[in-house]
Amino acid sequence: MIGPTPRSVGTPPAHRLPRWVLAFLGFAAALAALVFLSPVFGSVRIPWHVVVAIVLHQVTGGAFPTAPCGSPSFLSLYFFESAVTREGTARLLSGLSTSYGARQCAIWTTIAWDARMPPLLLAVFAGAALGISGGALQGTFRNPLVDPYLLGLSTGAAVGAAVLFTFNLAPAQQAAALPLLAFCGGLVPGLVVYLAARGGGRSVETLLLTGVALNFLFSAILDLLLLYRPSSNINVNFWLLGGLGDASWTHDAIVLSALLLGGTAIGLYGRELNILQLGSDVAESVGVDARRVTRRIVLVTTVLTATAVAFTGVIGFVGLVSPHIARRFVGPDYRRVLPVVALVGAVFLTLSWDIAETVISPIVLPVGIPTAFVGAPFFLYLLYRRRGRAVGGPT
Amino acid sequence: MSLNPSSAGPRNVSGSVFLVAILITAGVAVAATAGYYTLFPAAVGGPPGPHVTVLDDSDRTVTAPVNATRIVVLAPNVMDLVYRLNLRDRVVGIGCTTGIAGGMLNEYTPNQTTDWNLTPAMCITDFPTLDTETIANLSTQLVLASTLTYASDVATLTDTFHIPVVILAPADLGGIITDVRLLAELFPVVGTTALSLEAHLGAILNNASDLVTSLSYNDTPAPSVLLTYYFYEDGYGAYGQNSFGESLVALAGGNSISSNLTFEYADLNATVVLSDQPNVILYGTSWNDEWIVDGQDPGAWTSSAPYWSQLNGTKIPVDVTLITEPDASMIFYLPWLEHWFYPTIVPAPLA
Repeated sequence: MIGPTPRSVGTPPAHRLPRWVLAFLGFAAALAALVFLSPVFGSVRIPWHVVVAIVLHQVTGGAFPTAPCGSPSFLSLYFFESAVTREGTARLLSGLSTSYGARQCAIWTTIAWDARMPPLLLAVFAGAALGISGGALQGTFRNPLVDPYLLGLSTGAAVGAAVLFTFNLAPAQQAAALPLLAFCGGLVPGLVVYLAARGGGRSVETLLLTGVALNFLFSAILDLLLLYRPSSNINVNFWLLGGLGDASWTHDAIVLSALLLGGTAIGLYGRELNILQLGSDVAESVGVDARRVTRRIVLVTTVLTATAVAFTGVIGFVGLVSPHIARRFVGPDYRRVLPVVALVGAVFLTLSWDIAETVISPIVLPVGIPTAFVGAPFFLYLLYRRRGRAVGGPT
Repeated sequence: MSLNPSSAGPRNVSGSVFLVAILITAGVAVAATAGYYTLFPAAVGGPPGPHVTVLDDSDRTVTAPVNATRIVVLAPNVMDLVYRLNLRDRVVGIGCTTGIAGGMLNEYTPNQTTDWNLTPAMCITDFPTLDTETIANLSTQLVLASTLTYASDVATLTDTFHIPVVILAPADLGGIITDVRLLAELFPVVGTTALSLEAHLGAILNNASDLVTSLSYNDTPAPSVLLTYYFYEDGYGAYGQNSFGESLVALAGGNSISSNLTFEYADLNATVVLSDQPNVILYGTSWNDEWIVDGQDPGAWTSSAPYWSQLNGTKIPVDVTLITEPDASMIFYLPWLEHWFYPTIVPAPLA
């Protein structure tokens, strides 16, 4: 059997939280910290305590007064500034007011909340979507090297985008049509695999190879389109590397909705995924309809991934790497892996976005570059680790 | 992990549970979405005061503050007009390519940086992405851009930061005068300066038109012209149909040999140039050949441009900005083109 070997999870001591709960809480805390602090990064430097106050002010619907910007009050930015910075404390002790003017604070609020928060949340939601999709597919296909893109979803979406770029649409039309076409393009290969699974009598290896073949087919179509209109190369290439800069609150809401729907649906299959690790025959013998589970997982992950990719472009390795990290912390039980892998994917993509924004600021790198720099070595590590096992290592 | 069928019992997730779960999460999603929208903050608003609504060169309707005092200019040709209208003091930022591409000196000539008093501190990165946050942080009231600014960046400036963006991108030389009028609407403070500039530019264009009519009436043959701003191994960068480059040559009374090319900015095969043997070759030279403008080095033209020594026409180097940036300077340069096209008929302009 390829893939994670089920092993019993020992009963934790009564006085300690189970390891998977600790992992869940740890990644959740890391994600919360990233959401609060990531808006610090960008071409305009905003003090971190100002960012914290702005985010608190916004997420509490204004209950947390920002007031940095003028009259000092308890639990205001003034408080924060006084409490956490030497300059602020010195100002407080000397009876001076806060240093930031109302205009400056208004600008910082717009930059931190309106400009930086939508792409940040898109990173969170898309990362979670890609992570949970990768985890579910690795479980379904019982192969740790599977990720959503292996089924051809990325190249399908790229073909959708390339079709758009071959037409000279007006910018407004293009902005509206791009996610739609990319979504449709991403759906096609996933649906073909889904329909193949419906046919019955096909092994998971056959379905997986169907996805791989579709991947090559769509790559050829993409090349053909780019050959037809070379000028669309730069747009497609940018899109193929992924980007979050054009995110809006609407995009966030759509991806969040897909994540909640798809994530919940996948989460219901945690136990079935566990049983599938023992093989289809064993699963059938204990009453699990392996083909139906496979079909549904492929369908849901296809929709989930296509929705995320439609707004972010192609971002590789999140779906591949996140499940492995999650399994390291919580073991092979998919009932625990699935919620944690969503958090891992979110943290991974959010950190990558922070790197993309800062490494050569003010230029923002395509986010696919930092994810690849982390993901590719990890992928190679997995390959060699697996090969080592195949020649006699532990299984 | 419990896999013992007897402990929990094997089961498949039924369709009804699936549906209920979807409905519940859909409700949560809708509520979350609604929550997001209630958290929409008030964005940075412009200072109170009179506003004017204009139609820019991209047919966008833009409402902007009258006589904005803090403006960002994202294209050298726009800066040319801003400077000529005495609005330089209002400019708080200019678009520059990054240090990778040579920074400010790849967009502005040394003469321009001196004359217009531009400093690297004013630079706002505009390639490969526009640094919109810095523009917002400068309390910018108005951005003057060209079509080179990405639509997504324009959307960020207008939708997120609520900073109006006016696109100045004349399709031909007449469009430059339209841009002067547009700026005069945005900045009534320029008053007679705009009227004077408009009249001056209009007079030059009218004279050019009269010259062409006169030459045509006298059956004077029009010279064939290659207007090129770079070369490469097999050809020359040239202007095709409906480009302002073609309009420039036509207004000066020449026949562009690249006017049948489909694209505005198109490559003309070197063998075609060799075959056509243009009477006049105007080639753009630049001030900085370190990165993207190798083909604009004056020395490189003579040593490396394809078939250069076999082209027999009159070869004239010109500042590349004067043939690539549609601005007032380009129109002021028009009499020189007329002189080079018809040296025996049109005298050289006074300096």
